[in-house]
Amino acid sequence: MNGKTGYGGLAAALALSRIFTEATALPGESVEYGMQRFTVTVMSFLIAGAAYIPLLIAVKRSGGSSPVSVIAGRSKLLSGFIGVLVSVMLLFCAMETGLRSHYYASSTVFDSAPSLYFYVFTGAALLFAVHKGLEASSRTAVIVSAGLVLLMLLISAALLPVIRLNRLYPSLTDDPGTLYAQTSREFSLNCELLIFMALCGRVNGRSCRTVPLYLGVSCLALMIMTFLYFTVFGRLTPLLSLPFYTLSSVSDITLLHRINGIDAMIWVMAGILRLAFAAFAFREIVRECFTRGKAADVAALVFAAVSLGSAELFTVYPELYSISSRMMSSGMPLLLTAVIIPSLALACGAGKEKGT
Amino acid sequence: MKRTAALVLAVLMLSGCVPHTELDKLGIAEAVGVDFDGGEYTVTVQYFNTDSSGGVTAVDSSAPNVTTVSGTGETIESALGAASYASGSGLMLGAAAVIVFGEDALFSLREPLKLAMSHYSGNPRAYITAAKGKAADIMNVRFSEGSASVEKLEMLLKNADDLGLTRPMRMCEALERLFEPTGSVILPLLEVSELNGGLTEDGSGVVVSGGVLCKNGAYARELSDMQMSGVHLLDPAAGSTCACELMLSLRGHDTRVMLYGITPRITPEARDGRLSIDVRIYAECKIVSTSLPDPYLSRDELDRLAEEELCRRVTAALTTATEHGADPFGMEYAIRSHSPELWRAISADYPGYLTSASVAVSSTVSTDRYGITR
Repeated sequence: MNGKTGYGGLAAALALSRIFTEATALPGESVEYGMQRFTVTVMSFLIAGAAYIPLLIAVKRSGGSSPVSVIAGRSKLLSGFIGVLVSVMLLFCAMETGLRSHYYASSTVFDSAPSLYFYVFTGAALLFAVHKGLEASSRTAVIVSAGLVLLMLLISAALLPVIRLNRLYPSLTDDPGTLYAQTSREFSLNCELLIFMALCGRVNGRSCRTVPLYLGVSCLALMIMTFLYFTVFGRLTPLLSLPFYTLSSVSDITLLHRINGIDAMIWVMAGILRLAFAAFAFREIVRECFTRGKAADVAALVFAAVSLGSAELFTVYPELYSISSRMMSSGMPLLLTAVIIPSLALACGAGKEKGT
Repeated sequence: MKRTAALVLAVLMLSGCVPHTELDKLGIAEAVGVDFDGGEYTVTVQYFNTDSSGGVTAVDSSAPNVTTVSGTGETIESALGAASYASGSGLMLGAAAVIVFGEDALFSLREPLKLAMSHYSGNPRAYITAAKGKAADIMNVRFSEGSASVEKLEMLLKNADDLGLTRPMRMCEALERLFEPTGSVILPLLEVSELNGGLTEDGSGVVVSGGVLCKNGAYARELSDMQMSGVHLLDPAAGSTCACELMLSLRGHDTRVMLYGITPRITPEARDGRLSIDVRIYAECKIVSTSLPDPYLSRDELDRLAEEELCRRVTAALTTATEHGADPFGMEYAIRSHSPELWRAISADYPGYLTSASVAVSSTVSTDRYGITR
């Protein structure tokens, strides 16, 4: 489970992870039609970019170490607090991913198959990914990202005859009253911030390049997806529980009617990779803040299994998910974590680390 | 590692225990008819007959390619369940290419279409049509060639589209229109007729006979062929592919012309507290057939005749819809594109604004190519 990754591989994994949350909606989630959606996407990425600044400064000043490891090296009490805080947030992020994957699979490819099949097959793949380590998972993420780019190209080309530009209209906001809430909600989906914070020490040099690369790619991909939703479905978009999946079955080209199979495969793999990277991040936190032994590896495997298994808990008790989602969807916990931890690292002397 | 691989392989080999359906036990629906009578839905499903294939030839022409089955229930879902039970096979709707609603079932289109669209195996590209009388009558017409009726129905709609007689409506488009503020959609109307009965086994064929305007998902009124042609011409989606055939009397000679590259430009404005809709249609024209010796010498007159006919058809469609406070043309998008502020001002009472809207239609037609007569 040890190893390092290149910044490109990590960027591909983080971008895939971010796009995954948009393509696989949860029950009740929908993409609202309106040009405000573009504004919300850009604003949420600008906020995410700003939230990365203290983190990137801390990483730069510590010579590539993660802020968590800097804090852990200075104070046991503080590292314990940070460890618990980040672990809980990572667990929520992973459980949400499990729920998204399960809902997506049960609404599409798995359909009437018992949930057990989903847990057995995706669980086995997840544990295998975690077992193979960070580098192998990054390489897989690059391959899946290439598959996603191909899928988007195929879908875009196939949908050209049904794209209607008249469904777009020149407006930045439709309802200024909802702009803040929508932007917060969109920003709260950036759990990759935590994953990068935990894993930046594991990147083979130039880790800071990961962030602009993945943010740029994700933002562009989400804009293209939104463009396709609106120009193909228009007002129909909010009614579709899985609009990207539906996109892949609207094509005029008979041969491409079944590219929704590729779509399903890519998102299930993206879900597995997101869970795997959350598990790697969790292992890193445990290793830095609690124990450096083999126990951290075992904890990561347990984390992966529990986060996937908790999808069933959330499915059976949706109110549990609602409570935890309400806490996270303001974006504030994420923003605070992104600001507090790097600030603490800087205060603990991240600058001195470089010289020592 | 090897143990893990062996374990995974062992699990994969258990796939025979997974619940599955053999292909010959699957009813692959090709067309669905929905009727409502006496508080109950009746669903008639044309599905692929697997017994007709797999012989010496790919398709056994001695057996019908499609089988028709029907079921009744309080909801469409339960009616489909009953049809499935009657057929003895699981009905799969993912390949259904045409869905026909009988006259009496046109009272609540939103929910059934939403159900069909949201289902993972639903076909968003299926044509949605209405039937004069019962949808089951359309489903039961059998063509003598042995090919599935659904292909004929699809071709019927496509031909009518090519000639500018109707505007076929796909499921995703119909649903989009139904969830716009006025919930309006225009569906082509199919009718059992003896007009093309020579092609069928029992002498009764199917023709496209105008259309049906639905508002808020329910039947509002029937539309004539001329109004349906106007709907086709106003389709902002068609772009340069939109074409329409007209029969004009040029200096007393019957002249058939084809308009192509038809482009509508809709300009909405607010005037004196009322909505004003200005429509300009641009089109190219070519002569298909005429008995006039030198038709191209009269092309200015021909253009004027074509312009008048275009205006007549579009005005007929537009005024009929706006009188009902309906917007089956997706004009909402045109208003938003033209002025988001105007849309914000009128969106709360959009049907009311449509009812009192003033409509002005003009057209420009130019004959640059002379078609086969040249």
